[in-house]
Amino acid sequence: MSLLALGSAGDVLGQPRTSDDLIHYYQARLARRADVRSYGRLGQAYILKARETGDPTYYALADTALTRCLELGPDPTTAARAATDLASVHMARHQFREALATGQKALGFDPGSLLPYGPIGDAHIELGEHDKADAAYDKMKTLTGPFYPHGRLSMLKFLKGDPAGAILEMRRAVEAGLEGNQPKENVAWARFKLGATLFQTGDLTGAAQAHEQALSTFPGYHRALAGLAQVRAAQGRYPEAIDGYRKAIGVIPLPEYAAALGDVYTKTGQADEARKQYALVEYIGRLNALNQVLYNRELALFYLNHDLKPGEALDLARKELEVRRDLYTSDVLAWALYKNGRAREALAPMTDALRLGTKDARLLFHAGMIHQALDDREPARRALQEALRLNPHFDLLQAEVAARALKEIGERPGQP
Amino acid sequence: MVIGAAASAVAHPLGNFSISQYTAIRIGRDAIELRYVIDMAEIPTFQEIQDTAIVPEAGHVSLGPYLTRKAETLKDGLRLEVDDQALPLRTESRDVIFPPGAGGLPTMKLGVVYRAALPPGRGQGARLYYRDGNYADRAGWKEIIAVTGPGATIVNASVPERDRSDQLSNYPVDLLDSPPQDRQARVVFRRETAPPVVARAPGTPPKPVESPRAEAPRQPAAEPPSPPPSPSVDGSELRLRPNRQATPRSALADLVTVNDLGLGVVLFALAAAAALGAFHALEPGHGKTVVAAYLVGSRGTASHAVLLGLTVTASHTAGVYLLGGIALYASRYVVPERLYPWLGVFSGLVIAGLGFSLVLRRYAAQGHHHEHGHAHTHEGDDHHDHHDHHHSADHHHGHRNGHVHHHEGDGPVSLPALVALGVTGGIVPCPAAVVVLLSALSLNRVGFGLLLIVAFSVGLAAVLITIGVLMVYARRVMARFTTDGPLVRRWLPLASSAVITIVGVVITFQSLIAAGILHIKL
Repeated sequence: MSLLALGSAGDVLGQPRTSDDLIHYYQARLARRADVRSYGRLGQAYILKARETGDPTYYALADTALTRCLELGPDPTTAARAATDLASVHMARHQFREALATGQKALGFDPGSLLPYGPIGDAHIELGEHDKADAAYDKMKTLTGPFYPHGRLSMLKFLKGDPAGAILEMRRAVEAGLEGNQPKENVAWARFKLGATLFQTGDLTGAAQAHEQALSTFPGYHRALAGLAQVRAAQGRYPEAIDGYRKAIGVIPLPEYAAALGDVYTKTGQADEARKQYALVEYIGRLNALNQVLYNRELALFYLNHDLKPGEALDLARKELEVRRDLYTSDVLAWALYKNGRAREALAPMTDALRLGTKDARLLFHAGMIHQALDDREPARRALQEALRLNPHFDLLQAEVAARALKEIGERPGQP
Repeated sequence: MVIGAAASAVAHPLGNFSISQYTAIRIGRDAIELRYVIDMAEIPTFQEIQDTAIVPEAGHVSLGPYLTRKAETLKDGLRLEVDDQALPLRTESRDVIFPPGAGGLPTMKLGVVYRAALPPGRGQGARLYYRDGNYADRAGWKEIIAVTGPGATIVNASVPERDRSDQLSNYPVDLLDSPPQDRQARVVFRRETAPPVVARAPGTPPKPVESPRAEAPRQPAAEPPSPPPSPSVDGSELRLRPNRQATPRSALADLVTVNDLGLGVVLFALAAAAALGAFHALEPGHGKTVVAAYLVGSRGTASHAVLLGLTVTASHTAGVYLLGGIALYASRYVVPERLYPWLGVFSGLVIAGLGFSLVLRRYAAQGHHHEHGHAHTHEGDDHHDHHDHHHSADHHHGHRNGHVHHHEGDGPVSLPALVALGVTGGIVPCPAAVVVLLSALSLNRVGFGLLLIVAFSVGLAAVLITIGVLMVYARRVMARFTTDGPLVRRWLPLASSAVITIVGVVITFQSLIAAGILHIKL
């Protein structure tokens, strides 16, 4: 999930507007007179539209608008802002090194500007440089209102094994977004992110509430639809889960949504329907290979969790590691090695993935399984227990695998 | 796996998952016609195929029943009101096509004409409201237009009269004119009073909504004598066509991704590949410079031209196969685009080295007889990935030693050096050809891909040889003027080898920068 800023496309008009309104407004202004700042604002509006719809076309348009803004030789403040937004576009396209470079360029335009540290820090996280991310976000702490990096700090806290702090920070992000009159998508995104973090701590009720609020802020928001569906599945409310995932897929058929929907069908014994969704995931994977878009890691995880194409999954994980060196990529690489029967080699990337002490059930589950395969019973038991304690519903199908493995270890003679 | 697609991540104009919708509202005196088009990109098409078990081939038996059902389903999502009164729609005609999208995967374009009879008009303004509630949240191009049919005029409308997408077959996306997002329309229109030709029973009490069945037979009679429709872009029938913006790949790559491989398609593809190869040879910086420079510079004959054309083509083709193989194998470990810079570094170094040795040799070779194709060696300096032209001097020298000249001056440019140059030039072939090969591999059509490359090469060779032969005769004319003098004999050869050296260095640096090894602030 990207770490885009809570941008401020709405502030110039005084109140949150829809992205379409903003786009038309700035298009009309630019049609009258090509002024530098309006290009920047138009770029922001396109970013907002891209986030709402998931349609990459709008990132391309944002890129063009922001590039034109920079070409027209804007004042330092405008230039820094446009470059910062351009860095966010790079982030959304998983061009992490470009994002870093463009963020640095933004600082070059206006060394006093603090906003560029947002995408700079985000890029550092994706590149596995958490200290640098920390330092970048730290610079932003003097900012106020919606510019304070609550969302980013939340994410960093979660990675560093402080879920409670992450949740608190995300609640503040929601408040700041509301008070700062941010575009609806931005507030909804903060609420969705809060819901997702709550889910990771096993707080299903809180998570459901956050997602529902996200949906009332921005109806039809696909991330929240899927987030709520995940909670409903964990609660055993499968028809609602199916409905939610279907709606999310209706907005944008992301492979992770189709995979999750397939899992709900599997769980409820609807093998045919599950097969359809899994086929859709693989189909998107084929397109992905043709277009080289963004879902390497999600696809790898899907293959691994469904015991399909382990070799291809390993290739995908390695490819992803070329551009992205964060914890979760290391985790997928470790999981891929494990599934390819190379648990010994999996240990190093797994250790790497857990180097910050992240309290994420999925990571710990993977670590536990790898240890179990190596017959390191005690570490295996600890990791699996911790995973299930953190969130017994972390994954509809994999949680069962974790529980089974734990039982197996416990039943062995000679264990307490 | 496909290399050339990297430039843009978006295959379908609006993303692989988009569903675009289009309605042309045609307002006539007696009826309103909706020309409704749905364009599904690869992913929704796949979902539709999954859900309905249709076979995405033109004329397949599964399509008839599907279209009938689909037209009704889509109709339920549409709302048409005139003066706050909902008008029932009736399906007039429907059609579907499956243009190949990214990687030859099918996309789907579906069109339906709906018709709603208008209640008897009173000659005054009427208000129309239209809403398309299908695929409400899905991203895509959402366009509605309102046009005037016979016997009616539009007073004002919230939507334009002309479409931008040509019925969803062309998606121009512009910074200041982003994809339309119209899902509803309001139109105020006026109808002419019914002409006496129309057999409307005068005593009939005005019904709020006239039954469409009663209206239907009257329509053909009423329409032809009416005044010609306003100059709108569209006729009355649906025109479903593939998108003009195909996957952002070369035309050649699209050839391997044709869905169904009949004999006709194969022959057409081969012919097209040959034509593309021919055009490719005419692009600046390509192998023709080798031919030209050699034949002008040396005393080549027509048979030399043929031989050289074939050699260049063969090395070019071998280069494609080689890189294809390497890329295929290496793509498991590195992103294929990263190979290009490294191959570039390699070629650049070799070219620079050979160029430099030529400089030394020619400098040492005081005042020997030289003719040179200097005029051609610069050609295509801006194409850092096409190296063929840099061999010019060396092919020429090699051959000159062998055939034409005495063993003086130039020193021994050996056959191995020639081969080395041929390999370095050919090893970075045009990405288009590699894309074809890899597309074929990724689609399990290896044989066809290889065959297309051969056809491509044949086209390339034909043009190179033709140019070569032309050059031979051109030289014979030119040679009368330029054979002697110190400029031609000494300085031009020296300058040309210096240029070769510089170009080699530039290529090396460019490749290093592209590989991210070298960072130069501009």
